[in-house]
Amino acid sequence: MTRKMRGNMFTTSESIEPAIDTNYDLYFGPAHPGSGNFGVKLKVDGEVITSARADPGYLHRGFEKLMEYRIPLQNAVLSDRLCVLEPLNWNLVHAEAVDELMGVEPPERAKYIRVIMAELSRIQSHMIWYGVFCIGTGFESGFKIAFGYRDYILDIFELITGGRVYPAGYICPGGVRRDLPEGAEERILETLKKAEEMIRFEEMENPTLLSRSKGVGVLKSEDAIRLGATGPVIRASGIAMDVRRDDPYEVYDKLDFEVPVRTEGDAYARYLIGIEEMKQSVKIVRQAIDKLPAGEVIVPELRKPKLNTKIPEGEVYVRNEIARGEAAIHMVSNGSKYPYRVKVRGPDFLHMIPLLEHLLEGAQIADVPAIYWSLNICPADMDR
Amino acid sequence: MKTLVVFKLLKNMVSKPMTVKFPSESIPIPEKYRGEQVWDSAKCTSCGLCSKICPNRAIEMVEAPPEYKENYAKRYPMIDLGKCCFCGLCQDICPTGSLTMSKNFFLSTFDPSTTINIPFPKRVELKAE
Repeated sequence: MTRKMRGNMFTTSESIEPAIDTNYDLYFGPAHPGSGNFGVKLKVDGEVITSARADPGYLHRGFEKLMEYRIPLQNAVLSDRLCVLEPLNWNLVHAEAVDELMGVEPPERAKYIRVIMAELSRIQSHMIWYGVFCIGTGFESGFKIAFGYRDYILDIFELITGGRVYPAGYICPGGVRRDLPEGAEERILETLKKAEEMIRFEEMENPTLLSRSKGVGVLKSEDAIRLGATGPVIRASGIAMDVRRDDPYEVYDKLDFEVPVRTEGDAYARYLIGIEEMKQSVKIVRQAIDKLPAGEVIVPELRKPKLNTKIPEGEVYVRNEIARGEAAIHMVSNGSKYPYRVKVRGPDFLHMIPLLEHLLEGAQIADVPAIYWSLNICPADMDR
Repeated sequence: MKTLVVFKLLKNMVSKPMTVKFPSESIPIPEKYRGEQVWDSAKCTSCGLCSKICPNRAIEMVEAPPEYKENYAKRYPMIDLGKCCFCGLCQDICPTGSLTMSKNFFLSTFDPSTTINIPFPKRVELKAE
């Protein structure tokens, strides 16, 4: 309106154009409170992003090389650190890879305990997802409440594994390191009630979150396939893909659960998928506790840690569904006690580099945190 | 849905907080917590397995100073808590149960030298300083 008036006042066409160049570079991260050890270089025209370039590498620790100098039991401890937010799921991927190489079949009770722990880990990871998504969209109470409820699950981890955040290779090759302590099942069931309380809180209508995330960062299903999306991100774009159902591992084929799918593909759909997945995880844990058999939790030959256990020669590729998407480990052994090569496939590498760059193009600056955190990302897992 | 929010708000006004008032009350620590290691000199056979399995090489087998040679004849584990990741593998591999993990997690310190747990009694001259 004002521009038009000015145009009428001044007849020359130059005065209509803005005097300042609105193209500039903006660096989002790596010390930004809403980015977490990861940077995005944005080229901006006014408020609109014209191109985005991810800038990873601030959290690289070289896991793939470190694993070549450690025995499987030490690697199980190391695999916690792959992703701070869901160490137990990464433990499980590593343990399964070694199990398959060594030809070890874990006892039935160990398999159920593994599933229980992995699903509890998924619930707490989704709580963090909701928390950081809230802080990215300016709803700080949600962040605090989510982290408060997450601590109830960390209490369970402390009871069972001995550590709140890092289980230290609780899910180890051959089973799990120790049995559930006395009364753990009841404690887990109590905690699930708390998790359901949190789900009810998340389901409440939240105008802040709704207006900041609805229609933001829309990912079409063909783009999701092209850019290698997995997990909740691809399920929010209309493709029902879940390793737990498509290629069942442990005891997932004996448990009844659904794979939630939404077709919108925006940040709000991803947030709703998170809620649905938490509900399904609660359902899985309840079933697993009901069916939990008695017996051993680790194969007898691996019960006491040994220093010189040889890994048989071979090559495996094991994939799992972790909270962020599809995680896999490709392990090669040449018959020595250390693995020859370990390749880690984390879900966030593709979510944080090609997919984020694709989604940020054409978005507003204010929507960057909403898009960024709606992808359920973890810089630790991406940089490895 | 909005009435639910109002109900939740009113409920929160009377509900207890999630946190506890720490020094006076605390969340109980479970039995199998992995805290600071406790070493029993009487049970140790100096096999050195703990130093070999440690993923961070935080345990070093050291010899006693000459004045303690009588009581401490072999090599014993010296644990650097600054390197320790509290995985508990040393506890699991110990054949005699000499190394165990306690519930103590109050380990933050301003003096880096106190993070090293030396298996021998502290020297008399060091105490005098």
